[in-house]
Amino acid sequence: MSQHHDPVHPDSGHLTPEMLADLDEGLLDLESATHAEAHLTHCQPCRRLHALVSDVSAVLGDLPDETMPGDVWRGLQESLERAPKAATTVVPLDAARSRRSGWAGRALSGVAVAAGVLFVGALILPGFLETSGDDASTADGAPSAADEAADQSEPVNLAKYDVTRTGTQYQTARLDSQVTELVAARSLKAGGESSYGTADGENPAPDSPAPTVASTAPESTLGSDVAAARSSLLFSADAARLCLQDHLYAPDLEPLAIDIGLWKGQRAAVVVLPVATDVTKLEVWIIDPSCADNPEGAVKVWLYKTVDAS
Amino acid sequence: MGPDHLTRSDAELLAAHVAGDPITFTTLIARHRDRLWAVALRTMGDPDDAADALQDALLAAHRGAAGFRGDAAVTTWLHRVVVNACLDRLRRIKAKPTVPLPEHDSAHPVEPSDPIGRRELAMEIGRALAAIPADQRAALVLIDVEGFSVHEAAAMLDCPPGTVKSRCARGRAKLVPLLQHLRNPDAPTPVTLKASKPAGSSPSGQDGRSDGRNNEGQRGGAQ
Repeated sequence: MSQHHDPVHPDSGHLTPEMLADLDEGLLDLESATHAEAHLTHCQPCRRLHALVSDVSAVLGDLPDETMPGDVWRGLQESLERAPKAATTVVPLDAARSRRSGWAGRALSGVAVAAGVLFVGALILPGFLETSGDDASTADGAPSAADEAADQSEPVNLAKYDVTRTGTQYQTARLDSQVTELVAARSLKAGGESSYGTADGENPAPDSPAPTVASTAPESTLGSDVAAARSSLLFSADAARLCLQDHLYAPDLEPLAIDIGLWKGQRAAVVVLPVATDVTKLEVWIIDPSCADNPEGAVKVWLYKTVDAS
Repeated sequence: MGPDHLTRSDAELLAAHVAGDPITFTTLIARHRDRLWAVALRTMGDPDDAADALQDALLAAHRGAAGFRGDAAVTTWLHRVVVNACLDRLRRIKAKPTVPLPEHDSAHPVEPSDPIGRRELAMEIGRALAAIPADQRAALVLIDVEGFSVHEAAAMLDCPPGTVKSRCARGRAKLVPLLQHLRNPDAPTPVTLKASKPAGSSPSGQDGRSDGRNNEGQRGGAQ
């Protein structure tokens, strides 16, 4: 069986840009390159295309030099000044990439059961995130009715991967501090101390470091949105995994916190993850919790941001 | 910072940083900041993302400087850290909501000698670069834009030179229809440039038919 080395496209009768680019880079075997060059000698369209392919490098080389903007440089300088001294240990990116802790897998058990029970509570208590004025159920220590219902109906302890439902109104300007407070509160809880209201049956402690809650969306927005309330109540660690699995570089990294709050007046799931390659950073995803209804479908990502861990 | 810092080599500055000198790392970065910025910006396609990626990279380099073995130039190592951070970030944000870039008037070829035209040219090329897979874009940014050799780029991208060549060839072929109108006013302008954010790359680092087809060595003709 003889191998056909003519690089000319069988349909068009011409060389393709890919073939011509390969020819330029010396990636074609000798016979194919010979065929291609022979074709070029008698095919003007291919010669024109070849010139265009060859010219791409020159076009890219025409890009003007870039100068780092002053604010970027100042930000870098500040970050480097705050950074710890040079460490003697290096965390290879490959090692970080390969980390597989199976956080959602450990949270899987019982989640479906919990979601089913929570669904009932959500349907009858659509306004579970309602607050008034500057006070919020999670800030003043009084759990919302839906939280109470969730507390009573939650049959499964989701351990460290449970979802809090603080109702916090996350704000761009204060996101860093809100996220670090959220994670700190979760750390306290994981250590056995009380925390603010969660779906696993704990009531908020008055002196717990709950994220500050500002105003929330009006009742007319939240109270009538039964579907959104249901989605929010259904949102679980497993839902977070499924919603974000296509978006995370290391989808099995354990979340440090998952909170249901508000983002620009809409119910939002705030998922906080460690940054595998930088312990000083946290990765924050603010997504539409309705992805819990259809985790395989499109996910509305309202914000992705890296913030300082402290 | 004394004049001593200005005359020390990159390797000496890095060694001083590892030894505890508090300012030499910043001196080292200042020396290469524009080029590192250019690589980050053109790989990420967005200034904010580029700044974030660069910060991630340089903090990692700051912490991990002791792990630099000196088997490549310090600049190669720095670029490698930056490119890796960019590609990591692109993979993480590949589904991030897109922010459309400003509309452009592609009916008129850009005159590179004009300062305004050069900025438009840069935007036009940036949009085209953003439309190709991240691995190919990174290779082209390093070689065609920044002028590194294939071997330098291979060290920065942590892959064989043949893979770099292949990524460049694939990328250039994809860019032909997106860029030809810049040189040829009669050429059809690209109808759609899905360049509102750079195209991400698959977690495996393979993008479609790119390097997965033939990472190294010579490629045969059509069968």
